[in-house]
Amino acid sequence: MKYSYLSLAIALIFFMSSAKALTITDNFDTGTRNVNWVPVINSSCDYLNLIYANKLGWSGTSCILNNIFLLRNDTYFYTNFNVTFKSNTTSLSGTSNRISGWFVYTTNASYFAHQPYNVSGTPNIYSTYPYTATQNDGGWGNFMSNTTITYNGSNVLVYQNNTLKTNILITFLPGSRFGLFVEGVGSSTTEQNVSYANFSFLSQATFPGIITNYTLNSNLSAYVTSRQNFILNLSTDGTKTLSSATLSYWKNGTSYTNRTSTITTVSSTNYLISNAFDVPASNGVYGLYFNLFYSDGSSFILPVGYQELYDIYFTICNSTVSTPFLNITFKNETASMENVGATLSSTFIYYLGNGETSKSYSYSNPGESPGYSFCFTPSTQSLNVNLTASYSNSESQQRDTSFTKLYSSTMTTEVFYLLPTLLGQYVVFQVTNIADQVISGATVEINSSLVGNVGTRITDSAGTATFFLNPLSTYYVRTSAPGYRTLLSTIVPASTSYTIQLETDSPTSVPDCARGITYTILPSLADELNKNQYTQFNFTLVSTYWNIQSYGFSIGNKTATLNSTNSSGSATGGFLSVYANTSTYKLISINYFWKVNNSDCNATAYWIVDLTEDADWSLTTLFSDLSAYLSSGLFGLDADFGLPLLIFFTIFIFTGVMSYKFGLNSPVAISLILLALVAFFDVGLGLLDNVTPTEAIPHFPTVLLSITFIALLFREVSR
Amino acid sequence: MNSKGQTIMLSILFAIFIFLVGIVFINFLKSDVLTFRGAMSCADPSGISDGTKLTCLFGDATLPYWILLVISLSGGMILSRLLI
Repeated sequence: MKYSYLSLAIALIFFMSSAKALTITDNFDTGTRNVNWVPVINSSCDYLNLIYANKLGWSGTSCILNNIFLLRNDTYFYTNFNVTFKSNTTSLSGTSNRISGWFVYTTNASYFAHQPYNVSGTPNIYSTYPYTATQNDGGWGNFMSNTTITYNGSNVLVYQNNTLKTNILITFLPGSRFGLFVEGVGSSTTEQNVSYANFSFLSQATFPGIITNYTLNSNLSAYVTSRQNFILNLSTDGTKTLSSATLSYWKNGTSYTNRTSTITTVSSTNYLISNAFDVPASNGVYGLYFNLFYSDGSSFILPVGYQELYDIYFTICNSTVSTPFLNITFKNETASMENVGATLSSTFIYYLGNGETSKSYSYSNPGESPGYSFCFTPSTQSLNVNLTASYSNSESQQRDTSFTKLYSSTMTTEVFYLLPTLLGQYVVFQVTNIADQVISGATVEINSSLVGNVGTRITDSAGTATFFLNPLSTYYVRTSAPGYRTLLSTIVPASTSYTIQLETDSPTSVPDCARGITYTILPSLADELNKNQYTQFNFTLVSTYWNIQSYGFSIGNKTATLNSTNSSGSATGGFLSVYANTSTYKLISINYFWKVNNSDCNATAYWIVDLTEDADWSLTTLFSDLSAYLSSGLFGLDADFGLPLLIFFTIFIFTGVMSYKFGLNSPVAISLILLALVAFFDVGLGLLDNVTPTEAIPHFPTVLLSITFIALLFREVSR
Repeated sequence: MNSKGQTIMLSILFAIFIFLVGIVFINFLKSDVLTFRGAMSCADPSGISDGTKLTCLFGDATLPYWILLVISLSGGMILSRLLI
């Protein structure tokens, strides 16, 4: 009910002319408008109707004001809904009977005005219609019809731009509006229910152009800055080939992002169009539509739905936001590490996704405090925080720190260390190259095992960076500069100045790709994939040492790439995902890469595709059933003793019969028969797994028999 | 072509005929095996008796044995005429 505070205060009705017909020319506008007419409020229903009880819009009953019905015709943009004014004294058969005007409401003393029936641009009109209508199209999207629409048995009239629309399709762009009216229905109890949900769409025909159907797989709601996936399953009639697509994310007519989509061609009539990105940092309801581009040069805008974003808050803890995520305390950088108080000036850049979008929060306290607790809501989420802070107290020099970490409702305490002025000294680091030329713009990072990151500075024009350090402590200095090799050194700063010499980074030097790199591939490489399945492949890369310039992966079979994605958005890595059809390929490969220090690092791995799922009649099934039955118990045979005993006698008898029948007396021949039988039961059927004495050597019986056979063979030959 | 040659040709034709008919029947047997496995709940080892398990194993072996039979018959017909 957080939106209930957005109470609507004033309703104004401005009758534009005696004909009561409104000519609308403005585009949809959420800007501030001056109200030039004093409202006539003659009953409490003004408020009743205009205060919407939920965020989906006005849920009040209809209201009669001077014989004028207020009719809600928008359930979507809860901050921008429109009201249609209609007369209940005349029949509703044409535009002249409809009275439109300004509707004005207020949210927190900001006045906005909206105009009914306003449409951004010229609506696209098609001669055919879709449509499986859903009420969640939210005021924009494709609307129908070339068939009569009915509501409770009465015809429904569709207006756009004050024009009655019949036998057409109206495509609504974001921000556009239309009106619905029930013909010949005059009672308020009926009219108040006229909304998307009440209409039954009588039939479904073809979409405009080539589209026959679509479904969107996405979250209806999410938190701002979070990573969201959108997958559109698009069906066409096959007359055109889809060449590219983009996904637009809109609010109030403003495009927040327009991303190129990844298209997976399932067949000539079916496409999977996917996008993944961090949603904006501003809450509200966003519209989604795909721009579809066909190979013949034509294009089509397909509105597909909406997504509502809820806000997130990171702040110093208070009664409203009270789940602590981060606690900052201070200690002296001394042997006894006393707890101290300190001032704090901090800026937090925080986000839920990969950091493409973020919110910021600044906090400063000029007084000294022993600790600061920062809270976050929603507490169910984990939060990435990029913290930049300066802190000091009366005894110590100011220190700065900056880092990015992931926090959750399991509160993390960060200890910031201060070095008392009496115990420290300023140490100057000058960075040069091997020709003793100073390097400005180099990054000098000081760490210690006690404090962690003491500070990070960029060298000035003299190539120097200054730190306040304890001359008795050990510090680790990491110095880097573009075009130079990163140097790690250890110092105990007895001196007040140090010179760090960086070597030129030769183009042939190859960085250690694996250093500080961890990655996860899903599905697990140990798993088999099922054939003919659209499988989501994930690649999560985390770098704690290198700055990642780009990373990504491609999914392919032996000969071609099926799908690929890459990103250069985050220096510390992130999450990437694509869909691909395993089809009937025997192998699916993943080629993943990351680029660090201008060098490409890559690797390839494979999944085996299980092509036997439709093979319940095959020999494999016989043996897998046998194995399963034995595992679950069959005639008292257990896999630990009974079954191996049975197999032993089988091998023994078979070998004996073969030896007797064919006169095989040679140890080599007999051991070959034994080896073949053991390998058949062990490797072929997998029935001897339980008698392998050690898991370190799989198929140990077969290995043992192989060695025996080879030894006998050598002995036979050497005789 | 003498009578032995004609006999060999005839045997090969018969063998091919038997092989083809046998292979065609595999498709019919496949659906029967699937039906049989479904009806017997063969994929649920914990829910069926030992006798049912054994029956399932025999059912599973139907098609492999059938294929073995077809190949043996057709191959045997050809080889027996060529070698004997």
